[in-house]
Amino acid sequence: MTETLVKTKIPILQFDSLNVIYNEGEPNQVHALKDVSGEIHEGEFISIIGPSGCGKSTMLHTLDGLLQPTSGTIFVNGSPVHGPDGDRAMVFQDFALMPWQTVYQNVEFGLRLAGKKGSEIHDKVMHYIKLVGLDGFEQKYPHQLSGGMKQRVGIARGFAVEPKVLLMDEPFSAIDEQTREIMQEEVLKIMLHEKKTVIFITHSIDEAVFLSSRIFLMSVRPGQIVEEVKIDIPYPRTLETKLLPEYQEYKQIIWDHLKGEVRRQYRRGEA
Amino acid sequence: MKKVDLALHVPSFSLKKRKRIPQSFSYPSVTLVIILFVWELCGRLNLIDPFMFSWPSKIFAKAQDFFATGEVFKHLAVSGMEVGFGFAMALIGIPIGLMMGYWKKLELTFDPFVTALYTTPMIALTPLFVLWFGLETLSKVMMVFALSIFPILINTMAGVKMTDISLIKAARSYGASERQMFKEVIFPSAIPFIITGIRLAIGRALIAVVVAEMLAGNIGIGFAIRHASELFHTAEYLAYVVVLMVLSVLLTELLKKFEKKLAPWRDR
Repeated sequence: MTETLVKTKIPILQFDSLNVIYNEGEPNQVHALKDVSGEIHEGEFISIIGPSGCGKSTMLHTLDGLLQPTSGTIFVNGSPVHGPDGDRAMVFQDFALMPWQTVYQNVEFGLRLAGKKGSEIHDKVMHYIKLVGLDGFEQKYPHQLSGGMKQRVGIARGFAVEPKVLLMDEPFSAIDEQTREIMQEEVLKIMLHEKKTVIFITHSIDEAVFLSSRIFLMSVRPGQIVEEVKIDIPYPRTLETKLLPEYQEYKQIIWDHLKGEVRRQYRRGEA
Repeated sequence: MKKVDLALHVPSFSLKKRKRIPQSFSYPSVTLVIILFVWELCGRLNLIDPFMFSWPSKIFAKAQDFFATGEVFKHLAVSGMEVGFGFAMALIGIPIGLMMGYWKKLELTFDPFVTALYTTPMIALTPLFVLWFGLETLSKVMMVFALSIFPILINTMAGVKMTDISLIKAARSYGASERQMFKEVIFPSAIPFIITGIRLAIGRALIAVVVAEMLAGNIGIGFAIRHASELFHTAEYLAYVVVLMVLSVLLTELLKKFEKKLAPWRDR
């Protein structure tokens, strides 16, 4: 019953047979994404996982609108996407914070670009700075912050534009292991609190299983979604979740799927 | 044993801290004092022919003279005004550099010529400029402009092209228009490069004004230098050169301070 209900509802993000081909028609043509389709519903936490160079980032950039797909369509709430807009916000692997702007100005970034004035957005900006635990650091510059704090600014910047879908491109890969685990837990807490839909790219199986409600597994190039795994572990999840036997089982399942892909890539001499 | 070592080290460390004169200042100061001393000594021992060269105390005395009479200020005011106007005009190199760095087609169209003009010793055009713009102020202003615009333009352009691509991507992702891209990302990212360009341009501007004044006109620091040298007033001549030297060092240092203010994120 609930199944049919979900199915009939318009997906918050839908993409149909996306193809991305770099340098089309030239000798160095690369087929990065091949016939990628999927539906994502409100409140889902989707992870995309796959061997390196499989087109995960390409897919996320395409969904954001930064990259025009060679063919295929993307819909947000049923209306087509033509480029970047306020419905989706990105969190970048290398943080991509403006070094000349303070934490406050960086979080305010998307709102300012949308033409919103300083006073009317102040409360909103402060709300998200507090949400990521950076109150008191508003006037600091990025170079005065640790890696984990920088990425919290990146996350707050994404939230501040109040997007329908938050796109996260390996957001924790440049952060040390210990901070990373804490950040994962924090992100989950915020997601549940803000009821956001997230698409998350990672190459860490552990991270994917811990965070996601659903995992897309991608193949080596040309990147295709070869498998979908639903993670039936109820939220809220904490670091203790990682001790559950089913958690380990999920990790094993994903690794088994991934192993074949990585081996194929290895044989092709790309890994 | 270890404890003794530690105790010995602590006082020397805290002493160093209390002095508060940075080594970047104290070391070259010592060098300067030694050079001045040896130079002065050579002068006093009659090793220097005052017709051919001079020594610190004589130069200083001359400098005192022209500062007392106000002569130097008259020249400095004119030269300063010429540099000021020419330099202000050369700042047009900033928007041009921003555009050439951003639009590939503009760069392709004009870059070879800009590079050619930058590498040409444009100082050779001084006589032509005097012919075109006259013996008075205008020819000097134009020389300053012609010499200082290119380092500004080229460095601005380089700054735009050095903009971190991931910042551009982030701004695009958050919906930046072209104007916002310049304001939020490209211009601030280019600021340190622009300041470097301005610093290089100041050196060239001073060369331009001095050479142009030496060639034509009857006022300005370049004229004063030429005049003194023609009368074989070597000490006075060198005193003017010292004034120029001190001024350009001060200007450069001022700009370094300015850069720290404009680009606090680089202040580590």
